[in-house]
Amino acid sequence: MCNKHIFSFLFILMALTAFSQENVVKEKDNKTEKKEKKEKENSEAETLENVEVKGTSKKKKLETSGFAVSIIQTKEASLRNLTTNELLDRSVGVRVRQNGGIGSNVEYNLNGMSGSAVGIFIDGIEASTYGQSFNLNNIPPSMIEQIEVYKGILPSHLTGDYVGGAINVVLKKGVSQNSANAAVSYGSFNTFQSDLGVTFREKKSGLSFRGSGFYTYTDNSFETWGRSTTYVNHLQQIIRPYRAKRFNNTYKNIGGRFEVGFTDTKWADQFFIGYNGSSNYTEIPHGITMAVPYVGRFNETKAHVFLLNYNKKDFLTKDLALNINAVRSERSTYLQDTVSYAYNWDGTIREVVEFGERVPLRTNGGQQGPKVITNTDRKIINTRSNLGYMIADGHRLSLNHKFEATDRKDEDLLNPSSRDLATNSVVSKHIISMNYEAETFNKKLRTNILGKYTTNRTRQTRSEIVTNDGVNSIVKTDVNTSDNNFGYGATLSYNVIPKLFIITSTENSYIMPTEGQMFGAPEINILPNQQLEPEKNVNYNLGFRWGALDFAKHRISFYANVFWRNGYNKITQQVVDVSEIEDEADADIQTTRYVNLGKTQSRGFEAEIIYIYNNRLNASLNFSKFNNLFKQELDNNGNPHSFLGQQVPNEPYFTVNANFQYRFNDVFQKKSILNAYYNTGYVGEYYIVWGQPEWSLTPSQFTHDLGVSYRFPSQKLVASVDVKNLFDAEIYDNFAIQKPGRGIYFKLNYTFSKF
Amino acid sequence: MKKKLFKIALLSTVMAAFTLGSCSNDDNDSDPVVTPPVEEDTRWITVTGSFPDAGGTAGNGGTRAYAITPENAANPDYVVDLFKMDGEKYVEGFALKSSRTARVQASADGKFLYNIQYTGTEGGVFNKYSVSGAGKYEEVGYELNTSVILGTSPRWVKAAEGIGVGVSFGEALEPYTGSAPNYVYRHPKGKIKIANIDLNNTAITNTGNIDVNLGAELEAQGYHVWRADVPVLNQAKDKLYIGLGVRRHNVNGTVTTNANTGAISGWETTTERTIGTLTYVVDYPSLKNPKIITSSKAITDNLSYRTMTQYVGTDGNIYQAATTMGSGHQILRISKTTNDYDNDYDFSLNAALGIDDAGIRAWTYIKDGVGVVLYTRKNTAGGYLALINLNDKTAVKLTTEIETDAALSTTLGQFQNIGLVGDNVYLPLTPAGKDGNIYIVDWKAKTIKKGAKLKAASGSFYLGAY
Repeated sequence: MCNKHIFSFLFILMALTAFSQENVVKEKDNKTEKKEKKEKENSEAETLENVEVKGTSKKKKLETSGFAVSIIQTKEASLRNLTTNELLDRSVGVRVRQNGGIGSNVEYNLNGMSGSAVGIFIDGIEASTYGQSFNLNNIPPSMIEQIEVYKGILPSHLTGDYVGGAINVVLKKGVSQNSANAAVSYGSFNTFQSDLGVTFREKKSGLSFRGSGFYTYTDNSFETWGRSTTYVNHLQQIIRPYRAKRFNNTYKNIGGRFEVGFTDTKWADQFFIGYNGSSNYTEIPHGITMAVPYVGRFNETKAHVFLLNYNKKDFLTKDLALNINAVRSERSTYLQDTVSYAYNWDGTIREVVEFGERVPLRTNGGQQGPKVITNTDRKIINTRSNLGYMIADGHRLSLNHKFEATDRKDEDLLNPSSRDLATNSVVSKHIISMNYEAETFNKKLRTNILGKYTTNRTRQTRSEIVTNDGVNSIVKTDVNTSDNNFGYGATLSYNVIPKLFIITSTENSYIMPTEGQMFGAPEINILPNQQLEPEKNVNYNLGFRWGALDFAKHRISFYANVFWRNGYNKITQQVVDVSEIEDEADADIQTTRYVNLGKTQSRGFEAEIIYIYNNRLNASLNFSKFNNLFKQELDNNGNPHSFLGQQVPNEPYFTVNANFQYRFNDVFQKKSILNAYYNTGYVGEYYIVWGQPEWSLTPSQFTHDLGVSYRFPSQKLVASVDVKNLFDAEIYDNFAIQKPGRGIYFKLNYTFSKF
Repeated sequence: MKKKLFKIALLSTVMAAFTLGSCSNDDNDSDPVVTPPVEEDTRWITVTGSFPDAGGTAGNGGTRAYAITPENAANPDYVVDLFKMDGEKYVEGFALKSSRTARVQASADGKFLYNIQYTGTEGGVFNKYSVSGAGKYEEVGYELNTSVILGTSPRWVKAAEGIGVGVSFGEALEPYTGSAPNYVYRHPKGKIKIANIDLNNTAITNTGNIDVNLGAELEAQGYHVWRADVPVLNQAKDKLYIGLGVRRHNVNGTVTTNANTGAISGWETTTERTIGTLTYVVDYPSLKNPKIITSSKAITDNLSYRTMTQYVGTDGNIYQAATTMGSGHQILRISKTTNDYDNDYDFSLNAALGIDDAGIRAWTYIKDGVGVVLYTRKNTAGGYLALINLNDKTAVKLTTEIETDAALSTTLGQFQNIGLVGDNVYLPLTPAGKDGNIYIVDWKAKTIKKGAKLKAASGSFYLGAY
């Protein structure tokens, strides 16, 4: 292990996203402030100015944490027809890559870091614990307090095998008052969404209840007309371009979260136990590409999650804070694919000339291959505890322990005996991390040093048939494997002149492949690859944050960051299959797998400018540009690799977002507020295979969204309309899988407060 | 980039959106152009080459094509640099659509290339290209979707001029029944799907399938089919011969499992084999009346990796190499009169060359019993050439200066097509990752000479002339 590390540090300003009027950073342990904020939210007379003044003061709090984090506020978005993923996609350096419409598979790319390098958390617990039925695809923004996007190094409450950063969804915690809210939305592609939230607190005992529920239904019946949409006639001639409406992409999601406990008691600031249940029905409309439409291939996921949360600020002694978050999840993923006819994108069965006659075209049994019915059950325990101690003013030490164990059981329901000899694996992981935060030099210098020690254990029970005297028996052997690694990092921020901060950070860390990457996930077309090795990453960041600067009615702030990320044995999805050369039957792009792709290097920069005029206009422009380069010097034969130094294909590397919001007061009615929104996004062109042949080009993409929300004078009702992809542009994220065109959505929100 | 930024800053939105909308590919050629214009009468010779994937596996990345004149092909000073890169782009020649090495065939006059994309985003899609020199290839006719019938990694060849046939073996049963620990062997049977491709009109005009039936006796011994390959039409174009890959299960064994997951992966096999080369025969174009014929002369399957291995001779008989990935040295004959193996006939490359370790990697029938063979040797590294005479069962070895290069055996293993123009045979030979030449064999004079220089790159090599 490298023994020389100079750590630097960082800080980042949390970006005011364009649609957030306010920029209130919630300070985790500070209950009082939270209360204040809640109250503020209620008093609707609150002006932007107020919020900003307040925001600035709270920002200072965040600065002491010293991490490169941008905060996405969801309050504004929750009133509109926006999904959590759309919010993320608009923020600086974040690219959400989705395979189509609502409910389709999503990958997050933070400035070129993606896959398992990026942690996705819900309240500090890996989102995978909850399964597909409760993730960023379907959690309504109204359940979310805010989203933290960390780039590079992670704070102790999010440690894990992640070196590219993390997205942490912080769910609403406040129960300071009794209130309820409901929202319902309907729009294009027969998309219906609703959510409901209730909080209740009994003042005397501190007994509190939080409950929320959500339901989504969509046909995703959007039209596609790009190259990948085809019609195949009985002579198997491909007609394209062809315009077709999706007919096989229904998505249903229902879920609820109920928590009961105590707040602000002597023995706990918060103590909650809860249940989070959710379920999904997802039709899988095609494989990794849109070449062949699937009919009747679907998965159903269910998750029962039990929660425990405890935190106390002055635990046992003053200045010692304890926070425990534990989750037990039992989730299942069911996959079925038994329709044995081939279809066209118009929803009809394809025909073929067989033995001289035109007949319906039969498949090998299912849509993607042979018939499949499988079920995967996972039992997961995921806990995180954090003990923080303020040694002296400006010096804080914290100790973090994370434990995660997954017990996975796979069943082949069509052929149960095929798994009689299956290896049973229990994977568990402990991470112990420590960090030391210090403010020195008159609080101008902020440093944070972090070390983590990870242990992974796999207990495999292997079965074998042994024949003795002609009698077969199963012999089971346990194989325990474990490995561990040590990672470290540091952040530094220096306040050069008022409002100008230089920020820098570095880390050296390993990422273990995830269970899904190693053992596969048939429901999202991922094959297993148990030869995956851990990925090593060495990252550096350097940037600045300047502002907000005020000139009369103008307010402006700047942020920029350059990054240099080096990945070794990078875990990435294989663009094309390179299975055994002599057994090519497996090679099929309908599926993919994760591989270690030698060395990579990503260098680039991101920047954001935020401009506010007279507290009415709020505009922001951000962009991210990077080169994700292939750095393996030698090929398998020891010859110089001809792709050395080239851009890794099939990843966008240049994105721009611009957001505008304008507020009109007293439109139609006094005391009403009307907000108008405009958002535009650009993704530069990229090739999907090496050598850049023209046919593999994913063209550059421009999208435009418009929205209006209107708050009635009663302050209880908010109505909004959003138009997404205004110009019906042809947009793609992955392998030429076209995403929805223009859509229009309506939403009503109603708040019942103080009952 | 500055320009782009500026554009964005301006938010020239409407324009941009429209521009974008028109950005889709322009090759949506829905007119079935049967004979696109090829102005000149030049006999273009296409050379193809494959490049590596990101892992560096030679030849696994994709395939490029470049067309040269016979004069340039014969000129040792002429250089073809198919893998030349300017930055991240290949700049010479044309990228055939395919994510892995393309399965390219061509018309006998070299005017059209045919390909079915092997894996990739459009695996199983058939494309036809007209050839007009250098990197000028143009997609013509319909694209065909063969993937449901043939899978996305199809095995297909030109089975006769203007006729392509694709075959695939699948739908094999699990080779066991019962449950642990007492699994019982079950013969996997399986099905061969066949598709007739009209190369002139780009259409799949008929398909059929065969329920594989080796007969109770062979099945009881564990023999089973695992692949179908190299379909060829007879001279009368009324019979189609399909090569079969045969393996044998150890019927007294038990299941095999994946070493990691423990999931059952199959049944134990044995290499003990007593049956000869098997070929399925079906009527053409009806694809009915399947029948298996068996050679008593060879016990190696008639399969190939990427090249054709059986041809109709001038005499009307089929000549079939009994070889799988260089494992055999014999060429068998299927009689045009009986449509069955002529078990009195056997050509042995070993015998003809006086060696004992030859493995045929690729070959082509030229005319009047003469053929050219690319072979490797078990005991000696390198890649070798020979002219053979199937009538008098003789062979003449043709020497190249690179024949002992071990990297040439990699190339021959992936070799796809031997070019044939007039009396000349065109063989692009580049040891993997190294430069080489087009070698030109005058089969009548039995001479070989070096033609145009072929520049290679790491993990790249040339694999065919058309």
